[in-house]
Amino acid sequence: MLGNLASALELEQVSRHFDGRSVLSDISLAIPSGRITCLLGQSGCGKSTLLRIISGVDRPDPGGRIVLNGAEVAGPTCFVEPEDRRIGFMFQDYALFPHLTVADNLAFGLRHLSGPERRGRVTEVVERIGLAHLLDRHPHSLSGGEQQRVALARALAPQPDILLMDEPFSNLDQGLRERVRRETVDILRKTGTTAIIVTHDPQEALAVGDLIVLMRAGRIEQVGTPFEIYDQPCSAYAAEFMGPCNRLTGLWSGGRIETPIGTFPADLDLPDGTLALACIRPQALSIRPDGQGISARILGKTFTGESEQIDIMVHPLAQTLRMHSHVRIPMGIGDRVSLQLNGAQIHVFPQDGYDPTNQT
Amino acid sequence: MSASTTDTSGGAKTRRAVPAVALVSAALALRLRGGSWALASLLIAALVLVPVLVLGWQAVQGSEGLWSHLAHHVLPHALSQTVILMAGVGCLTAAIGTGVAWLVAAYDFPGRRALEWALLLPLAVPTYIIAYAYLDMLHPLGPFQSVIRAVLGFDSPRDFRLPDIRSMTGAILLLGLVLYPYVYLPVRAMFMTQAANLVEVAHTLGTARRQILWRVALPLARPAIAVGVSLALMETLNDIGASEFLGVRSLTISVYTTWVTRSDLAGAAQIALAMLVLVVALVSLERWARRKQRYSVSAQRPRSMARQPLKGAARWMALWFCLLPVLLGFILPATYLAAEAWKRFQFAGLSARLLAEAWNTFILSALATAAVLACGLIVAYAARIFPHREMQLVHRVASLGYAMPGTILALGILIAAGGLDRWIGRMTKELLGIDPGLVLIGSGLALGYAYLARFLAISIGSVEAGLTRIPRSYDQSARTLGHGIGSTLRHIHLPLSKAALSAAGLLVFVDCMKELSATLLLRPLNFETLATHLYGEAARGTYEEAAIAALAIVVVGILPVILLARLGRGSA
Repeated sequence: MLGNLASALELEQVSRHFDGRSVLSDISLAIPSGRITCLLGQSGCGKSTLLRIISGVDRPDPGGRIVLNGAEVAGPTCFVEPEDRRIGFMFQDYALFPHLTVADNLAFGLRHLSGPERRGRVTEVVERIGLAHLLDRHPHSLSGGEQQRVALARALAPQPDILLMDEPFSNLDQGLRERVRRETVDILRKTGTTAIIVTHDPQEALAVGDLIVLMRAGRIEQVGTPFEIYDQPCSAYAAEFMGPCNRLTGLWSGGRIETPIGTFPADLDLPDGTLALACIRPQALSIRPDGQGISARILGKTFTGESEQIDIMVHPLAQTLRMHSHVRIPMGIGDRVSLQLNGAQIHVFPQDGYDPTNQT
Repeated sequence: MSASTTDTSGGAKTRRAVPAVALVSAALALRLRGGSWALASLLIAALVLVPVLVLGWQAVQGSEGLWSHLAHHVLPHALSQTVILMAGVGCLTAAIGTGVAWLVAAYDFPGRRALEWALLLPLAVPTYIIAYAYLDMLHPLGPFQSVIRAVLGFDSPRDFRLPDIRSMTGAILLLGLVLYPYVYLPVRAMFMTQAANLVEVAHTLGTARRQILWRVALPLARPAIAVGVSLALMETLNDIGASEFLGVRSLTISVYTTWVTRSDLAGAAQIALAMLVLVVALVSLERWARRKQRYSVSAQRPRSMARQPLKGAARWMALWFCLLPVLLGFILPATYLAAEAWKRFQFAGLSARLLAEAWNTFILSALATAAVLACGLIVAYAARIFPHREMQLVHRVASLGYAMPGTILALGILIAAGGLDRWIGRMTKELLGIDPGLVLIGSGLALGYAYLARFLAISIGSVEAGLTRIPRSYDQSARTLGHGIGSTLRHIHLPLSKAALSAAGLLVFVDCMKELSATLLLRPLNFETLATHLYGEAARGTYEEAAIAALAIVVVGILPVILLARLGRGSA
């Protein structure tokens, strides 16, 4: 879907070791120009290290290559220092310089410009982001949301080729976070900025990313648009990372997986008779009071306001299945119900540890 | 591409200049931008190490016969004297320092808040000044003994006199009185920040308050005590004035006299090497204790324990126990010096000679401080730019001087600078026909070098403490906003660590001003500082203007004590 866009940044086989421990291995990636890319993964998966390597404050192991707008910035024979890369970086803690006013912070990255030009650029970015009333203040007197906006403005002021953001919203309260996130994305879109946002929150990645790069233990698990990542996860890990799943093991035969609650077709190249894994999203399940469908029993209900989380038990199955209901369920705990399935939300994968390249 | 070109200019030069050392310094680091910082840091570390290496080399040159003379007649006595002195001072500082730290941390009694910082005051009195003051005060004909005789009804010192302060016991007592704050400071910090929860748990488990000191607090404070004692003992080993005045023939004195009176450089170097063994032992003790300390520091939020108010006689006993070290270690000698200085001032005013010496002291200390600060900044900043293990090693070597007695450093520098001076003299005489004299020693450069090597650790430590408070994201922000390494230092780190830098400057300045052992050996001919003036008079037994010089040193020495007290309050 984004494949035909020009790429602003290309990584080729970027790896990084710390004291013999591999943090990133063989990352190859193209970041589309003018779009927002989310690096998503658990903490410790290497996404922040990757961001630091792109910015130039850390360097990849020899062998990797980084090309920024067609020019090599890191490679076997060359390394461009961060100050010469035209990259903007926004930190989780914003890293506003406490001894400078907001205006001086904004002008900090503009020292290559003349005085009037610098003032012009500051005014421009201040107007776009709406900071005019804060210019004379010091960072410590700003609220969290204001600090975030100043940090964004400071990073954008030198008009970087690409903006890197490390968990830019995680320091904000829940209520504020969504608003600031929307505003930030608006600004990035209006300025046509190429941005890479690191986050550990799948909801955030789905909400703001044009492209999501899901990482796992220093490798790329899957790259795709939010819909691709959510609807066609490439692995059980990807499926579970993007949202809760019920995992069911079943036997693979004739292009289908056979589980106690049904048989589901899937596009998998597995020999018949091997075990496979079905990941069923909670929203693929629904229950009805009557006796049509698979017979089940309600084991527990947890009301969360927006929806109700229901644990159900299907007879031959050892584990409980979890589902969400957005309508009130009149049945109580212990009641018999019947279970329905929506096949589109069921993803089938080889059993964990199965290596398709190893078949005989 | 711009990077690869700029890199080679700095990198190639460095690689050519120090092919051997490049191994140590992480060849990788030198290739990067900022490699010049790593190189400068490496050179500074080498500067610190050179005196010790030269000393070892010189010691090996010594003749066999001389060594056996030293080994039989000088070394055993000097070594045993030094070991006894260190053992005594170690026990005394540990007892006083830990005792008063526990009292002010665990109990409430009249005057506690004032005592908390007043207990630091003896730090302002260098060892040679307390020895000088007491020597004069307790002289059989001095004020103290005269009063006692008058009270007891004796007429002449022949009928009654106190035991002579000029003894090993006297030296241990006096050094203990001014060095205990080295123990008091870390132990109190330990009690204040770590002990609260453990002490309360011990309480609920039924340990009586009296037993808590022995069963909880002391075991907890053991690493802090070890750190403090090792620092106090480094000072003891460094001391030259007090031992000289009090007649203790320590290793330091032996090194000094072997060189100054017998002009036996190899012999002095050999004794100095024996001292180095003690230094290594002390540094190992300190490092071990600091590692322990790190382990015992718990993750929970520090909280000081609730102080128990003392009642009845106990409160006055606590007050006196804490007041006594301050009284004997600071108030008494300082008052005496002030009185003597005033008497002298009324009698003769300030002589031009003393003013010139004060000016010498000031200029020398100020210049040395500037150099020490700059070098400390370079080493600390290089360690921040390159957080590699190799740079940590460089950093550690550069910080070695704090443990090195001034005499050892000075002797090493004397050998190196003397050799260099002779070489420069020969060259200029051959080429220009002029005899420049001793360029390095005569100009005071050699002395400045000694100050640099000895006090660099203070400046590195303080600057580093300032830098670690600055989040790394600031560096990275500044870099991605187009500022290079130097520009980031100028615009971010320097303004943000101003306080740490000025504190470091103050500490180094005062230490330079008080420095005696290296100054004695390395000062240019006829160049006197306040400290050497005092030493000269005390050694000759003429008591003229020394009291004024001593008072000046003590007064300036109070400044860093105030700083320390404020820091302590901030952390508590």
